[in-house]
Amino acid sequence: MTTSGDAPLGLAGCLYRVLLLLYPAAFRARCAAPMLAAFAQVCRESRERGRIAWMREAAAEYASVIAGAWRYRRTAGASGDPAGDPLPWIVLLDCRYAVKRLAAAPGLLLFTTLTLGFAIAATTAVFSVADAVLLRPSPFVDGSRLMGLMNLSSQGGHTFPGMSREKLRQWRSESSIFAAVEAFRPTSVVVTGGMEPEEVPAARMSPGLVGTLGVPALHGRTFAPEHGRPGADEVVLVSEQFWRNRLGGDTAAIGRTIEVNGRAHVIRGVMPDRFHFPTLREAIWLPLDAEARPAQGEGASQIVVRLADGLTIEQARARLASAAERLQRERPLPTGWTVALTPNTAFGPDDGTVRAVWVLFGAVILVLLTACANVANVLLSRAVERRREFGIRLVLGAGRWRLLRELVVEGLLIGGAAGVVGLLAATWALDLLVRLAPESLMYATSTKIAIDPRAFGFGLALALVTGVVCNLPPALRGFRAEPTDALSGRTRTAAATPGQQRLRAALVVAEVGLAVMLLVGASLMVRSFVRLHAVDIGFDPDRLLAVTIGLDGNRYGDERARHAFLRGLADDVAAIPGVTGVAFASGLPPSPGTMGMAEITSDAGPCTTERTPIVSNLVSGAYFGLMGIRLVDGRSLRADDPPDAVVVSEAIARLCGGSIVGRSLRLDLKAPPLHVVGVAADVKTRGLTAEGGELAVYLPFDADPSVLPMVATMHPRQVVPRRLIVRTETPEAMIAQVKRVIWARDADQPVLRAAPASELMAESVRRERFVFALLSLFSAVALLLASAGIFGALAYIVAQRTNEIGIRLALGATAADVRRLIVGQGLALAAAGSGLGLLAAYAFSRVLAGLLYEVDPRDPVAFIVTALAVLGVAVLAAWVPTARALRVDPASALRVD
Amino acid sequence: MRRSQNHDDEPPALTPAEFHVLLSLVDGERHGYAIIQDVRERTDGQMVLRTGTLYTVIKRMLDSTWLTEADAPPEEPDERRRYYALTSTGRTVLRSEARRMESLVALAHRKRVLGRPKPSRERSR
Repeated sequence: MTTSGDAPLGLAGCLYRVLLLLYPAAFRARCAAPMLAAFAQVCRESRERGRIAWMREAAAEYASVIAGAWRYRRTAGASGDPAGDPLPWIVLLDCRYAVKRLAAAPGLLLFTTLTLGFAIAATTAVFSVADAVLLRPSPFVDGSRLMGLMNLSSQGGHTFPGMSREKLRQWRSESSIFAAVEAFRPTSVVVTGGMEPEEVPAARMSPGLVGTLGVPALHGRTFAPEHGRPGADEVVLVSEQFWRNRLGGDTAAIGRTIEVNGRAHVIRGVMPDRFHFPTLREAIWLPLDAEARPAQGEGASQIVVRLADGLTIEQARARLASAAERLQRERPLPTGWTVALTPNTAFGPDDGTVRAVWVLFGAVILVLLTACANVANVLLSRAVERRREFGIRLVLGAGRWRLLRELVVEGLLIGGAAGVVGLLAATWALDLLVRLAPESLMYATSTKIAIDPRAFGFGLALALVTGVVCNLPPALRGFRAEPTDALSGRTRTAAATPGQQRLRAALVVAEVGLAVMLLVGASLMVRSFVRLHAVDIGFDPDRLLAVTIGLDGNRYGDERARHAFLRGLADDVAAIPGVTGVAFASGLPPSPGTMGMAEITSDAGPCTTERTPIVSNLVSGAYFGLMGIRLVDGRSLRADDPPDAVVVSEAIARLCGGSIVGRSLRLDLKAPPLHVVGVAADVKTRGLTAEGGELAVYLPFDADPSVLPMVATMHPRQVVPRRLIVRTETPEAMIAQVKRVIWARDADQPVLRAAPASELMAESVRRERFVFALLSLFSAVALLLASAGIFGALAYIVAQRTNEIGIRLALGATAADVRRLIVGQGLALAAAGSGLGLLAAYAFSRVLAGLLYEVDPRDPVAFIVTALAVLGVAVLAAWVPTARALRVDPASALRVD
Repeated sequence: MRRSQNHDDEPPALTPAEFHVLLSLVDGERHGYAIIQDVRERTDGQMVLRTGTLYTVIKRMLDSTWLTEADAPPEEPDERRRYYALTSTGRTVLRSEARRMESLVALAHRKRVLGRPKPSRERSR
């Protein structure tokens, strides 16, 4: 079985390599490489049978390596092979002993493993997302030498993409600077024939681009130099996921044809799952002839270059500058020849996504620290108990280094167990994260979001360090010649020194502080969502099903054809039993039909002082009634209205001085006039949080397209989206029937989206909901850990001060006094922690600003509520220790031992 | 790996893993994963060799010169895989082990442990 390209094993392979170190060096020299190859193959085969199968096989392999190394070393002498390095051998023995000790306290091990494991899983998962989105390590071969080439405007100094053919040809010939100059154009295509027609995000790439990126095809081949030119075969490359989902993962599919944009294309190859270009969304790639005239509707190409060998970036930039100067002298262009090299070959994340990722990363670090503090506390109590044991062993002659090594190994095991659990959980956690994540995440990077060895290494290192550091105190104490203490025969539990007590208290205070920080964040978001919920969106999404269909640009080339199709479709859908109303439009909140810049003038004078972004929707007559949009003035559009009729939103009417019905309006100084027939209430056309959605105009389908000339263009798509709005009692249940009706009318019509309208509006704040969900989870976990910390601390105090409590009770203290004592301690810890936490939250809460809706990041209500909640939890956590304290029998407490 | 204390002139008994590995290499050289697959098929999934077990066995047999490393066959040039082949010593060990087991089985037959005594012949799987 040949493997095309070295499929990286990632984490599993790293772990296997580490375990191989258990074998002696001589063995490894001969067998390590083939063992790794065999392991890789085992992983590959089992992965196809599912994740559980893969994990089982991998675990069995790891176990066999450990057992094999053990057996090999044990019989090393017998066959004359030198046993090799002694140190790993000794570590193995220590491990065995440590495992026995830990197995004697399974509760402890379970607690630390679960706590730290959860924290490591969460940290690793979020770090992987952050790494892919923020750091964006290049997934391509020698990625640091791949750069984007952008035009640099001579005035203003800003860059813009899209290079003309002439420039492209010129830069291609500059072989002293570039080893390769390739082009791509993002687009989308319609795949039909066979299954449901589907719009698929795609990109056209020049034939050499795949080679420049350096990722070979998983099956089949990549483009050849002649592809894309007129007369060449029509071919496509598909992504591995597309191949598995739509083509059944059948290798025989390569060489067959699929229908793309209505024409048959041969599937030339399948790109592996780690290849994504230019973002994570594109699943089909078509060849591009970069030097040919762009097709109608397509913009200019974006350029990716690979620097010539041996050239540094600075040298390349210098050469580019001098070349640009020379070209401007020889063949001057109005926009100039200056270009800029950018490190990103494709798009990057928008600000909102960046902020959301940072917030989540910060939050998960807080959780990790809380978990570490909690585990440290638990191990500290255990350490205190073992001080006596170590004292005795020292007196009996045990070496100090022996004891220290034992503790270190034990700490490493505890951390290691948590690490393994964390890794397993992290893969699931990341899957969940990616599935719940907003779409913008998929647009933000071309690096596959997968468990990052660096992230795992970070979390594991932290866990190992925590395990070791928390296990050391008894050794450090015990080495200070206090054997008399150990041999004193005291039967009470060993007391913690004041230093250790302070440390315990400090850890609990830290835990509470961290939990408070997370809770403040969650509370702020709760308030934000409450405000969002109260927002008047301007229409009633209940009982409405929104179906977005993508009308193929080839077959429905103009609005008239599209209108005719939609009219016929609306009649068909209206005939479905259970449907009480149908309308259609070009846009539906939160997706506006068209966005453009307008200078609004009415017949009474200008309404706007500068170009203002507005939303423009083509709607059918039934739209306003179906959507429940109130008409403030005038009437809605009717089927018999002339093409220049328009309904404007209240916001626009206000700009134009109030009563505007019956007057004429222009959206641009050079545009034909429109006749206002009605004014509609403001609607959040761009989603719950977006601004400017209130400025909207509603036009009939046969309106003149030039009424809004300055329209925002996005990259070209094969389909034109249009919305069908269906009123019915059960929108979800109607989806299948509506789809059937659509495909009865046109079997090749992709349905881009079909969902209840309320769901769509909720999606406009999907990013905020995503952050909120995770923040809530993290703060709940942190609060749980913090309260466990308080509980533990108080229980310990009660155990320590049993004598004192007994004496107090004997001397006449009431139950209320004892309660006050214990709960007071708990509240003191919680208050100290809350104070620190609130201060920190006050300093840092600004990071949430972009995610909050009309809530001040320093909103006092959130802070106060959090503080009260934490204090309340502290009181609850004190409950059981208090009850125990009250049950102390004064007589036995006074007994002298 | 246990070596049972036999008479000095008899080679020691092989463990099941060793036996199967040698058996896999009778028909020609193989790389590690191919041996694992071959053993799995031959035993109908009863014996699944793991890489740790397998390579411990292989290394021991390399040291005892029962196996030798061979070049990859020309159709499958894969640098990372090492191919292993039986030496004549290895073949001898395998044969004597098979004979030893055969004689033990014949004894069992004569004692009617396995039903009527059958003439020893190649039994196909």
